[in-house]
Amino acid sequence: MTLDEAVRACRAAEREIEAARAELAAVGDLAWTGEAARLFDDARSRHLRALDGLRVAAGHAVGAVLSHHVEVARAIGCGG
Amino acid sequence: MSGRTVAGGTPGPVAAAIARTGTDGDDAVTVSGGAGGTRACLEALAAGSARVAGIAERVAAAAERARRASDAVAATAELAPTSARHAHADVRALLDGPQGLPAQAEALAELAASLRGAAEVYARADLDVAALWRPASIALGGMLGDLGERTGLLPAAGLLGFLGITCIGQVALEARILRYAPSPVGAGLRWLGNDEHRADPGLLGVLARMVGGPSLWPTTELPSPAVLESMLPAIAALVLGAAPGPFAWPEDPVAQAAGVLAVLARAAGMLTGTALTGLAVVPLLPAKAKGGRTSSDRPAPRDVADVLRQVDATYDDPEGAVAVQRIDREDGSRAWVVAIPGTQDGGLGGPVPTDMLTNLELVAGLPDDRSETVVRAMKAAGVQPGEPVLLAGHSQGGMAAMRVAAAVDGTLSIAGVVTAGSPVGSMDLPPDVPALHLEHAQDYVWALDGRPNPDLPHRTTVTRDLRATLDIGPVPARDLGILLTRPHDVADYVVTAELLRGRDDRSLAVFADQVSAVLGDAPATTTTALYLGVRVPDVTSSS
Repeated sequence: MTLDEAVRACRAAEREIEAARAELAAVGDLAWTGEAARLFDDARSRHLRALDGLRVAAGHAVGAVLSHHVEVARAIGCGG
Repeated sequence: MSGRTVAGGTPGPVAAAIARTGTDGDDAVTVSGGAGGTRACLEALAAGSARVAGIAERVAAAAERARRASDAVAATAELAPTSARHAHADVRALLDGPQGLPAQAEALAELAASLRGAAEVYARADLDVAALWRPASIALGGMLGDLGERTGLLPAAGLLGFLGITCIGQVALEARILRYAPSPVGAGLRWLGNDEHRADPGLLGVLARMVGGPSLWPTTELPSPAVLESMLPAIAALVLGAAPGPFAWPEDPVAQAAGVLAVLARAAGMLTGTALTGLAVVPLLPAKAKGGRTSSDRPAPRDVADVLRQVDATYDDPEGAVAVQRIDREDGSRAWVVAIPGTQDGGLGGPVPTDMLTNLELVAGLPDDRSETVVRAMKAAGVQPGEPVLLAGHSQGGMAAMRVAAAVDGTLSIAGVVTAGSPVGSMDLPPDVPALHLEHAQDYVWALDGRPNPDLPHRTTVTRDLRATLDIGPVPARDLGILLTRPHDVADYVVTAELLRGRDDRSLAVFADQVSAVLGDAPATTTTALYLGVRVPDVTSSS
């Protein structure tokens, strides 16, 4: 994979994480109550928080890989 | 969760928790089926599991992209070490640790599996003994029927049974007389029939209630309608098996037996008198209503209890009448409530269609005059496609409501069906039509189709145990009629519907919302028209 493709991969990962988060948030009412429902809601909340963090991290990764891409281009004399 | 007890367990915390949670019935009312019912839950769990599994795949795909990006950065690290170090750290943040993409993907996949396991726990709970009993009992009944036809064993068994019951009754009566005798035998009988022994739920209690208690007649309790419901398929199969020819293993022997009886009743009507093969449906003028009540003075219903109160009121109308109420709201919208009373005539094929012939035809799934009356009444009243209609019926009226909802599917907009004490377990209902079935645990009528109501997302069944509120415990045997008729009273079904107001149950809440959408709470003008269905000779249609 080239660095150009790596940047696109990170952006794609960011979009996948965003889509997964939206999908998980939209998982509807499972029509139950009690301890099982509480366990599921807890797990979903944890995953939503984790995906929020991962979405931000993916944004950082995009920037960092892009910066590295620029630096490498400079190093091999293709950029300025 | 709909009054079901679930057992067993499958991997996953959610499934394990499901296995520990069970009934929610904390009083005399039990709710099953509907939007919060087991099957609805199964469908929601299965759909939720599939969605979470899809999410896990998305996250796994994101992890794979990040991994490849990490490799690309590592491969070029020598060319720009500083930026590579930063990029590598940022990309690894996506991949490493319990909050990383791979770990999240795995945890989401486990959550999906847990939801799937929960659905399996519920599915296993549905595979109860009753489901196995039905085909076995039908087979046994059919075999006995075939046997009885050839050997005469059944008449002999019946005679023996009759003699046995007579002997037991004679012995019980003698014992109840002897218990007053000042003798050791009398003392023994008084001891056997004391209060403590009569309260025993086992065999001792049966014997004690036979010889003890007040009055000369023994007190008794009828078996549960649920027992009758489970036995009816076997009894119907026995009757069908006893008919000439080999037993044909019907899927629904109760419906088939009812169909045979209905055809025989129709044939008997043709042979013994003028066959009433036509049906006339005519508007009933207000002055013709009993009690001097006009047909337009019925208030707009607000909920299920009000609707059933309208059904109760139709019993004051002439036999065979149907009440069609138009609700005109201030915003110009219009809705309809159709109230259908139950059986009013014990005959078979007479002029009044609310009779036993209609009951047989409804149970058998044959065309019937009562449903036809309702459909024609709705059309005559001016019900238009797209205008929501709420159908409500008591006993036979509930069966007719179910039949009508299926018959007009695609032409009129049936927004809901309410049945009270109606045997509708074998009747199909379009999946977009919600239904609420009210049943009293001591009412035998709803059990007469030999099949429990299906627990479907659009069908909610409420069962109320009347013993908690009404004095219908053991009664003298001569008063058994009270046990048979009182629990079927429509007025008590109105009370049952009132008990459901504001109840914390998802199935009931969803149905109440659906009813509210029809009835509304805004000021409205109501107009109630009564239509009378009458069987007539040689008339094919009239309205």
